[in-house]
Amino acid sequence: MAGMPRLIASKRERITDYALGIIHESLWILGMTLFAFVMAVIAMAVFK
Amino acid sequence: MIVRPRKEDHLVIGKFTGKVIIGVGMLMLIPLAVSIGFREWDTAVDFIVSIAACFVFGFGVQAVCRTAKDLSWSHGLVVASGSWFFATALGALPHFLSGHGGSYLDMLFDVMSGYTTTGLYMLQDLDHVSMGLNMWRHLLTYAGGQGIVVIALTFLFKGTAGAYKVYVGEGKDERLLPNVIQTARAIWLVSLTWLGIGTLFLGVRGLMLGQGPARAFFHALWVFMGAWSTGGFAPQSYNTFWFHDIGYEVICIVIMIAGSFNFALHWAMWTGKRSEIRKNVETISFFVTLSITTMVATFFLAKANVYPDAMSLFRKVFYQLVSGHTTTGFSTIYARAFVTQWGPIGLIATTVAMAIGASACSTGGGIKGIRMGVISKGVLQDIRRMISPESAVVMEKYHHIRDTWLSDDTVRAAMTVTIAYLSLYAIGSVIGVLYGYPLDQAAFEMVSAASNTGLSCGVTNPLMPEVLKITYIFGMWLGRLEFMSVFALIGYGYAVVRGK
Repeated sequence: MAGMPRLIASKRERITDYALGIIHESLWILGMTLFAFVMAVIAMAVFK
Repeated sequence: MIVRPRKEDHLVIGKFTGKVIIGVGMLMLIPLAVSIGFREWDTAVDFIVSIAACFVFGFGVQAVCRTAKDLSWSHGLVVASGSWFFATALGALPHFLSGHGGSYLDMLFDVMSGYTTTGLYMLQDLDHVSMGLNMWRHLLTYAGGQGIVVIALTFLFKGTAGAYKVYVGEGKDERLLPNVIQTARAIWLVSLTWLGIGTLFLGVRGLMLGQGPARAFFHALWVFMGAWSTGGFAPQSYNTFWFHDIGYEVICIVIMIAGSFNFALHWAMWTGKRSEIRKNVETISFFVTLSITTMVATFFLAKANVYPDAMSLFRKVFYQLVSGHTTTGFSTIYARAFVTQWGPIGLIATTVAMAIGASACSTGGGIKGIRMGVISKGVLQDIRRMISPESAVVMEKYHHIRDTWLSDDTVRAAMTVTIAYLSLYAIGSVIGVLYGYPLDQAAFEMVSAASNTGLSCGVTNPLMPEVLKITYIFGMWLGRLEFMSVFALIGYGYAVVRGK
């Protein structure tokens, strides 16, 4: 049944899914912060 | 012809409004417990009086309004906006009884600011407010972020078919799960899980900074509530500037942005659809507008030589802009620094970020990323239509949880709400200008209030004109409920008076 959505997940599977979701969200936010930093450095370099 | 509401309509609206107010009274049990725990007896008495007032109102209205009728759409909208009105009036009691408020209007301002997750405040001597009242302030904003109706749906509206109509009336329209009460519970699961993790990280950082365990825990809890709910309240008058710590600021940035995400996005991420965050029109819109406003503000502030080095400049600019764009309202600069140091371009960049705001169905306010995304796609579609052969069928789609074809109705709906927000921003700014404030400062403050952000450039204070206070209260209320339910309440009042 690969690729099929799990209709009934065990408690452990759900908690693992939640934890991975939170980690993924946090990493995306930190990645975006890094991107914004690079953009800001470029903006400052353009000015100088 | 306007039809005058019948007795049954009043009864059903009264019954469900009473339920929500009982929920507000039950919420006050938490700050009451904190007051008792810290032996703040005066504050405890304030809460006992306030809880009694909520229960007398809530149970009293329910006793009078006995009906088996369920909610219709118009009832749901009126209950949502009416509940917020009464919840504000009664929620201001602990503030007023504490003696930290100049007037009841100031305290109404603070409580509306809390519920709507705005973060502007009039409370005086904030650094010496009791633990119980601080708990109430932050709980208000945390509860308001999820929606006070969502709380009532979770605990008090069991098995009501009309529940979805009140839920929509509060400015949320996503169903995470097929059932609206399950959706409300899923929202709480997401919020409470983040509450545990965020408080832990902030608390550990507080301990590392030298705070005592109790102080570190409560500061972490309150700062989390302020950040997650995009409320912007903090226990000190210097807001998060008080910590002077980059670690605390990074944790706050993660929580503010996570809090500004659509709950449907959280739920998708939590249920295995991890690529959603990269494809969603709201996160893409947020990413683009935050990057542009950061670049513009950085460029001009670098030119003005306000900060000594690149890292300090980025740290200040990015934090204020994330705070503005997520409509949180945390700041690590003095309020007047927006005027005296950042200047017009910095003020405008922050105002634009605040005006756009966060995601729909999140704790945040503003026009919302999805509307910006839909309008941008609509403009692109029109341009493609113009340069395509007449016989070509040009279709555009956008991704929010699933791919959706863009229809003219969707673009029109997004434009309608966007124009309503812009009109609200404009009207409030004009009132500010009429009271003698410069246009850029009046616009900054009104956009901050109506987008439920809470950043201030110094206009908001207890000495400001009362008309301006009332303008901001209405701005916060309209902005948070996204107009329709407040208009429904006004229409309901008009129909009662003039209907036939």
